[in-house]
Formats: sequence, structure tokens, C-alpha cells
Amino acid sequence: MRLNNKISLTLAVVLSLLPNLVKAAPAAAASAAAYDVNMVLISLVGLMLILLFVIGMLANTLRQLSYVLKDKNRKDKSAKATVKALLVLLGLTLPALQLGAAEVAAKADEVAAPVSNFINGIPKDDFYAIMSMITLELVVIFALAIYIRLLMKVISAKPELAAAGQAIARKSWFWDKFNAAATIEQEKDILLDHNYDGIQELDNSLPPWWKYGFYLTIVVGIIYVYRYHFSHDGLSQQEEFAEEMQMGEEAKAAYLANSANNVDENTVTILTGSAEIAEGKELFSKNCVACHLADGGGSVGPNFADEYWLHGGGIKDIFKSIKYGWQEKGMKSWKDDFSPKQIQELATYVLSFKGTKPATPKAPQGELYIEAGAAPVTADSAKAVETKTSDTTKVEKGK
Amino acid sequence: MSNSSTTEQGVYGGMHSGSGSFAPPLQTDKFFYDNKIVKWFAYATILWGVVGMLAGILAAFQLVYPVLNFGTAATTFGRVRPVHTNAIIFAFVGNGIFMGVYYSLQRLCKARMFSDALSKLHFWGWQSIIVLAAVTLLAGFTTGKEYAELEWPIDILIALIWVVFGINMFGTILKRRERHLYVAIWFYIATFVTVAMLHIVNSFEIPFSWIKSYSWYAGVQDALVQWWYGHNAVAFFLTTPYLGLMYYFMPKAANRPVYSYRLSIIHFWALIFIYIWAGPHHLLYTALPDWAQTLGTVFSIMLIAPSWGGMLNGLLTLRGAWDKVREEPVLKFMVVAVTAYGMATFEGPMLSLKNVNAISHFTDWTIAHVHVGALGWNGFLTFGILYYLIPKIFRTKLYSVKLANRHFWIGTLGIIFYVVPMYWAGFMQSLAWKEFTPEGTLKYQFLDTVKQMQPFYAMRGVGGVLFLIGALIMVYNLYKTVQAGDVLNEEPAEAAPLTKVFVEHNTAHWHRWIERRPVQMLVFSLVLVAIGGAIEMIPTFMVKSNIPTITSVKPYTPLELQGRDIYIREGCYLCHSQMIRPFRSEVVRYGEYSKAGEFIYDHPFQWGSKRTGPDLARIGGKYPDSWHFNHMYEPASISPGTIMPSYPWLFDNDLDTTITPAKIRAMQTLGVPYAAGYDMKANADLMQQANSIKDNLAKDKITIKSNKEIVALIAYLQRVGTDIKLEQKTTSTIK
Repeated sequence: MRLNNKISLTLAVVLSLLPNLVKAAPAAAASAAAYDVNMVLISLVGLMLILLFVIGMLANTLRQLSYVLKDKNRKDKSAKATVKALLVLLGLTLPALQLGAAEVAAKADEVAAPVSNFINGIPKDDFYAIMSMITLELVVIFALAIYIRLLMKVISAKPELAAAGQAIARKSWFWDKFNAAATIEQEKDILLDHNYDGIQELDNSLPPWWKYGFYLTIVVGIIYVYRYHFSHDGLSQQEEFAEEMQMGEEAKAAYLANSANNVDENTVTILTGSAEIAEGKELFSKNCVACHLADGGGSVGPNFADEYWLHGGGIKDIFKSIKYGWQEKGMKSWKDDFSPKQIQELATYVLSFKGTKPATPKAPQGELYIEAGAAPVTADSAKAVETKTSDTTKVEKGK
Repeated sequence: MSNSSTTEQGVYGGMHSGSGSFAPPLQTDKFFYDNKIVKWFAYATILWGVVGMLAGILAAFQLVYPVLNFGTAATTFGRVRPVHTNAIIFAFVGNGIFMGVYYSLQRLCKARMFSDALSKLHFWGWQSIIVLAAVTLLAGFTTGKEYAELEWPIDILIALIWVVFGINMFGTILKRRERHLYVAIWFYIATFVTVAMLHIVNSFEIPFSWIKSYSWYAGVQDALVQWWYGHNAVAFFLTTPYLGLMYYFMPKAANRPVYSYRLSIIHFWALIFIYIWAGPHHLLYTALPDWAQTLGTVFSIMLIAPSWGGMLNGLLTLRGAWDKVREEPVLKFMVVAVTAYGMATFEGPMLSLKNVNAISHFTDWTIAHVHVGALGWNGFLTFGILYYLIPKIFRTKLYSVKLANRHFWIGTLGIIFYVVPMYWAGFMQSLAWKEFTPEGTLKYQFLDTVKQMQPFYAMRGVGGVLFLIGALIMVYNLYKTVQAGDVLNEEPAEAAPLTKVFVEHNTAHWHRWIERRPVQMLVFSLVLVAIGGAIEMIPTFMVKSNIPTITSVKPYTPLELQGRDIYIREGCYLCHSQMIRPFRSEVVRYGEYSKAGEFIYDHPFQWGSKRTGPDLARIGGKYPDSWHFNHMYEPASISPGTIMPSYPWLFDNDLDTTITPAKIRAMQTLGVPYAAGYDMKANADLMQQANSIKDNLAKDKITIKSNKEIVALIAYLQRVGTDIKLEQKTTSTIK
């Protein structure tokens, strides 16, 4: 009878959890491989395991408590019946709960599928599988807590049982077992004859989880070295970098190919929308006023209000100056900071200074610019751009 | 405070003569424990703790309100921050170590300290080092290497006083009346030898004036040595001595036997051996060779269990005494301390994983991590020990347990208020730095992310204030205790001397052998801690391929060298890194990633460890001279919303050119290829370059004399990272 109960309880818990475990594990592994390291995924799986661990602890306590009733109170049939009823109930409810959770997850899947296949970088199926697993675990923990409470009530109703229950709860203290520690009562057997200013030492064995954990980290260390320096499955930081740059370029190209943003110094035109000019003004006040002043009068950089331009005053010229910069004169290249659209907005805004009266105008620099179509992009500057972007890899090889 | 005192009072030695293997003592020696020196170190701990925390709070709020830099050199963040870190590590924790060691060592050895004169010399020597450190750091004399900022004369003084401590400690151990060394003493011995080794090796420097020097090592090698030191300063100054203290004070306060002797043995040896290797995890994704980075990661992972061994042995010692933890403030502080230790030593290895480090490094995440250790582990353990010691030395009860409990809760809140915003801030900022728009441009300007940090920096400051309030409550509480008490400077004790003949049990643990032999223990510890560093450093120094030569990299011009020394003096490296990691987000933001060969003339290296401001590795040529001029004078005029302080004194101070020849000669000694006799020509070149910068500024309507410090700084900033840009141009044209 007792054995049966024990088995039914253990089986009920394990069986109810197993399907999801099996389902979640490969899903997690697959998504980790395909989508690099996903912190959200790792923390969710971690949470899942912690909750599982809590369930183990609670189940163990419940098991211990059920012994109290059965061993110490065989004659009390009502209590026995209660325990039995509770356990059966437990066994029945768990799979039912799980089914419910799985259904919810499945429904959520159907509804959301057309929109996007990923949530926080985790494939939708896996995400819901894990989330439903966590929900389920929380429900199980809640249920176990209620059962333990009920059981405790049954036990504490009988004074003689209450004492036994407490003793067992103390003896079976989870951490003692987990750490393979001698109980407080057994301590005198392992007390060493060391005595330092009254400090004595016990000879408890190493906590097994600690010991095997230590071995595990050593094994992990060896595998790590092997992967990165012998099998070369792990990428070196230069290889990782090359891959990251390539992926970035591809994503950018794919985006720009389908985008109205695809404007360059050959195709750029003056914008007319007031929202776009306001956007240009916003960018200008955040990034340019340090050298050109808010009214475009110039300080470190030239005056925009006059008719004179160092590098041409057409929209295409200005776009080019912002995009590639004039490094030797202190104008940096902004192409990595702003999108082409933003540069267009900025260039448009810069042109709007023409004819205004800045407070402290800088003396004219460069040549008088007469609007006659912007200077065409020369072959030289285009080439310079090309070489610049491919520098990174060349330098590496050069060394 | 009453429960733990019973074991101590009464007859020393007589009560605990349970060791069956000893020959029965014929007679006992009567002697006195020196409590006075312990008391002094305790007062020093409290004083410097408060000073260090105040400096920290000032630094914290400077990042929220730049006006708190007060526009003077000595009060600027770049000088306050090293005062804070040095004060907490070497003054607060340092004195805490000596307090705890002087108290426990005497009792564990059943002997008075070896020499009262050495004790006094040690005490006053250490306090004068602290004062000298504070004064020189605020005056701008720094080596520019984090946590090793003190200049060469103080370095020598530190080495001498450390040896005084060592002699005093070892003398006590040698004349002990206890046959075996307790685990706490193993930790003290390992601390002593390892700190000596770290300090001496990392402080190799060549003086060029009575107070200033250049690091012996350069670039990658300097970085490796520095972080071998920096990491193990955490290990052997903040961790191992405090583990030793935990092993004494925790079982004493709980009146419980230590949980596992076997665990002590394995975790002690594993800890000191493995810890040493982990230094390179501070340099992941940098120009340090890959193999060294791997060693850093791998040994950090292996470090989890040995570190946790200490936590487990501490917490499990409290088995059966948790009811006392509820009552006794000493134990409360210790439990939180050990828990914080466990969290920090688990987090550390996680931060050493490359993919986590890619996010956490250079952000406030690291700041949060170290403060879990500093506030939680070191701070709370020190408080616990103080609450234990002071009533004992003053033969009274603690003035108020209630106040101690208040301290406990306010301090705990302070830690939480400190670390949670910093974790959040670090994580957010890192993600913001890495975020791209679909157009392939960076989503945020660096300054945008700095502005986002403000509320978090403010909350962190509040956390620091709470922690300090807690500490001040303790000061008051201990002051009242001292007033009510009756000091026992000379505590009588009695113990039998060791007999010449000793027969060990057959059944005794093998480790007992070395516990009777302090000299062997010292030597063996030294050998063990020397291995990791040697294996990492020797190849980095000897094997050429680790630092590939870049022909275009040339030594600094004299003006740039002078400017670089100003950069170091003002502590720029505390907020600005010079190390672009090979990530898309960094290469797009800052430029080509940093190469090992670029730093061969950098004595010391200036890679930094934190990006409160942007990386500067490729700042050279990015902006005009006038930009730097205006920016250094009033950063907010160029970058509205910045938290960088202004540096007006650089525009008044004349550059000290009399020292240029000495600097050039020192660099020549270190192998920097200036032509023979260049030291005497250097100033002519310097003036020429300064005049060209002056002329350049004049074009932008800026008038400045060419002999001002700002000119040198601009020269340096315009040089940083440009050598490799030249190379790029060359390779492109060749192709």
C-alpha cells in the first residue's frame, strides 16, 4: 500500500512533466545553435530548471510528510484515507493541467503565426513551449504547496503526530542530503581533535554537487580550449568580426534595396516637406552646432549663410561633404552616424541658411558658388570610398 | 553580543586541551595578547572607511552633476576616483586585514605578536603610505595603472612595510604554542607572499624624476602584467585575507565547529592556484593574444567551485546556529557578506565568458559587480568583525544591538540601491551602443547613451549615501561602546610551549604534515601562485608573433609624450578606453579595431576599463585642434549634456619642458628608438610642434601661447591611433 502510494506519486509528477521536458530540450538546443546566444532563451531555460528543482524539493517534503501519517498512525483510517485521496487527486490533476496548458499554447501558436515567427529571437513554437512549461511548473508548485499545507493541517491536528512531523522535517532537511552532511546529532562522530582558540573542525565530506561541479568546470575548460585552439570549431575574434561585418552589410543591403532611403550623392534632391526640414534642423542642433553654430554663422567650421563654399554649395556637394567628411579640415565623415535620408534632410537644412543674417558671421571661405548644377561626383572620390570600406580586412592580411 | 563571549573568557588553553596526541604539558607559559595594536588598526579601518566612502559618494555625484568637479584639478573626477578606490582597497580593507590578522593570529598561535616595535612600525608606516597616497593622487602623481596608481617612492615604501608585516606575522607563527596552523593562517601566508610578488612585479618602473616614472612594460605586455596584478589584487588583497578572517570570526561568533576540514584544504589550494591565471579575462576581445584570453576564460570557469568552497564552509558552519543569526548582528553581517561573496564569485566567471563580456565590459555592469564584492563581502565582513572585536577589547556589551540592526538594514538597502541601478544601466547602455538602424547606421550617438545614464547614476549615489549612513551609525554605536567599556590593552593568556618531540596519529590526515611547517607552506604557496603568471607572461614577452610589428608605428614626439603624461595625470583613462574591440558597432563608431603592434611605445598602456565617455583609440585627426581646445575648456559648449568636467588649469599651466630630456632618456632606457643624443634636441622639436598647433588654432581665431599644457595635450590627442591610419592608406594605394 505504502509502496504503491509512493510510486503513484512519483510517477504522477515525473510523467506529467516528461513530455514537455522532452519537447523543450531539443527546441532549446536547436534555437541556440541557429540564433547564436540568446540571453532571453538562456534565462527562460534556467528559470525552468530552477522551478523543476523547487518541485523536486516540495515533492520530497510531501513524500516525507505522507510517511508520518502512515507510519505513525496506521490505526487512524480517516487520515490514511485523506492522504490517499489527496495523492490520487494530485496524480489526476497534474496531467489535466498540463493538457490545458498545452492547448492554450497551441491556440496561441495558431493565432500569432502569420505575424512573426520569432519572439525575442526565439522561434515561436519554442517560446510557447517554454512559457507553457514555466506556467505549468508554477501551477504544480502552487498545487504542491496547497497539498503540503493540507497535509500539515491533518498532521498537526494530532499532537503526537505533530512532534513526529517536525522531527522528520528536521531530519530530512533537504540541504543536508544535498550536501551529504552529517546531521547535527551525528556531528560528534566526525569532530576532529583540532582546537584552535576554541575553534573545532568537523570532517564532513565534500558536498557531492560541489565536487562534481568542480570536475565539470574542469571538463568544460578542456573542451573550451580544444574547440577554440585545436578543432577550431570556435571562431577566433577576427573570424567572428569578419562574420559580423558581413552579416551587417548583408542586412543593410537587403534593407536598402527595398527602401526609399536609397539615396546617394548622385540622386539626392532638395527636400520640400516641412517635417523633413524640421528633422534636419533637429539633427543639426544635436550634432553640428558645436562647429557651425545654431544660426549657421560658423566658428570652427565655415559660414553657411554667405555665397562662398569650400567644397561646392549645391545639394549634392553638401550631401557629399556630410557623408564623407573633409577629414584633414576637421569635418568627420557622418555616413556611419546618419542614414542617407537623414543626410539629405541635413543638407536641405544647411541650404536653408542661405541669405540669413547670423549673429557672428565667419568671414567668407572658399569660392563664390553659383547655382549651375552641383559638381559631379568624381571618379577619384568614389574610389576613395571603396578602398576605405575594405581597409579592415586588408590590414589584417597585410600583417 | 553575549552568547559568543563565553568560550573566550576564563582560562585560555585549559578549557580546550582536547588534543590527545600531545604530550601532557609540564608547565604553561603566561603571556599577554597585544590588543592595543588591534584597537589602532580598528580605528584606522573605521576612519579610512568613512573617508573612502565619502570620496566614492563625491565621485558618484560628479557623474550626475559635473559642477561638483569644482573646476580645480585636485577635485576633478579623474583624481577623486583613484583616491576612492585606493582608500577603500588599501586603507579601509587593508587596515581591516591587519586588524583581523593581528587579533586572530595571536590567538590561533597562542602567542603575542613577534615584535611590538614592528607592529608599531607597520601601523604608522601603513597610515603614512595612505596619507602620501591621498596627497600624491590628488596632486596628479599617478602611474596610470588602475589600483597600482601610486608612484615609485611610495611603491618602495609599500614593499618595505609589507615586509615588516610579513616578518612580524612570520615571527609570531614561528614562536607559536600551537602545533598546527589553522586554515585562517594558511590564507594569511598565501596573502603575504602573493601580494608581495604581485606588487613587486607590477611596479617595475623607471623613474625620470623624484616622484614620476614610466612603467617598465609597454602596451600588450603592460596590460597583461597590470591585469594579472589587478585581478589578483582582488584575489589576494580583497579575498584570501578576508576568507582567513571569516574562518576565524565566523565560527567564533556562531560558536560552531567549522563545517569541513577537507573542504578547507581542497578549496584553499585550488583557489590560490587557479585564481592567478584568470587575469586575462579583463582583456577579452582586446589586442591580447587569443591563447592568453582563452586561459583567462577557462581558469575563471574553474574558479567557481574553489571560490564557493569558502562560501559553503562559512554558511554550513552556521548549521544549527541559524537561530543565533536572527539575534546576533555580528552573524547577520557575516551571512550577508559570505552570500555576497558567493554571488560575486559566481558572477565573475560568468562575466569571463566571451559572449557575456562582450556586453558587460566597459559598462557599469562591472562597477555593480565589484561593489557586490566591496560593499557586501569586504564591507559587511569588516562591520561584523568590528561589532565582534570592539566589545571584546573593551570588556563590555555592544552599546546598542538595535542600532546595529538598523545599520544592517540600511547597509543592505544601500547595497541594493547601489548595484541594481548599475546592473540595469550597464546592460542598457551596452545594448544601446550596439544597436543599429535598419539602414546600417548606429542608432545612438554616444552622448545620447550618457544622458540615459543620469537617473541611474543618481540612484547609485543614493545607495552609496545609505551605505555611508549605516557606517556612521556604526561609528556612533562603537563610540558609545568604547566609552562605556574598560579597555583591555594587554589580555592575559596562558598556554603550554610546544614540545620538541611530536608523534602524529597514524590516522591523521596527510595535510597535517604541512600544517606543522609554515616555511614549507610559504614556499609551496609561492611556487603555486607563480606558475599561472609565468606561463601567461613569459610567452607574451618572448614570442614575437604575439605582438606583430607594424612598421608605421613610431615613437611619440616630445610634445606628444608630454601631452600623454598630462592625459595620465588627469586620469582620462578612468572614463575613456583606448581599445577598440573587433565588433561591428565599435568599428563603425570609433574606427579600425586596435592591433597589438600599435601600443609598443605605450609606457604605460592606457586601454582603460570603463567607457563613461567614448573610446579614444582613434581620436587622432577626427576633430580639428580648435574642437579639442574648446572641448577641454568647456565640454558642454561642444557636447551639450555631457558630464565631462572642464580642465581650465591646462590653459594656465606652463608645460614643464625642463624635464623633457629626462623623459626621453627614460624612454630610451626602455628601448624606445629615439636617436642617440635626441634628449638634448627634443625641446627644439617640441617647440616647433607646439608653434604649429598654436598657428593652427589662430586660424580658428583662438589665441594661446604655445607653452601651455593644453597644446601638448592636443598634440597627443591628435596623434592617438593615427599610426595605423597611415598604414591603411599605404596598403590601399599598394593594392
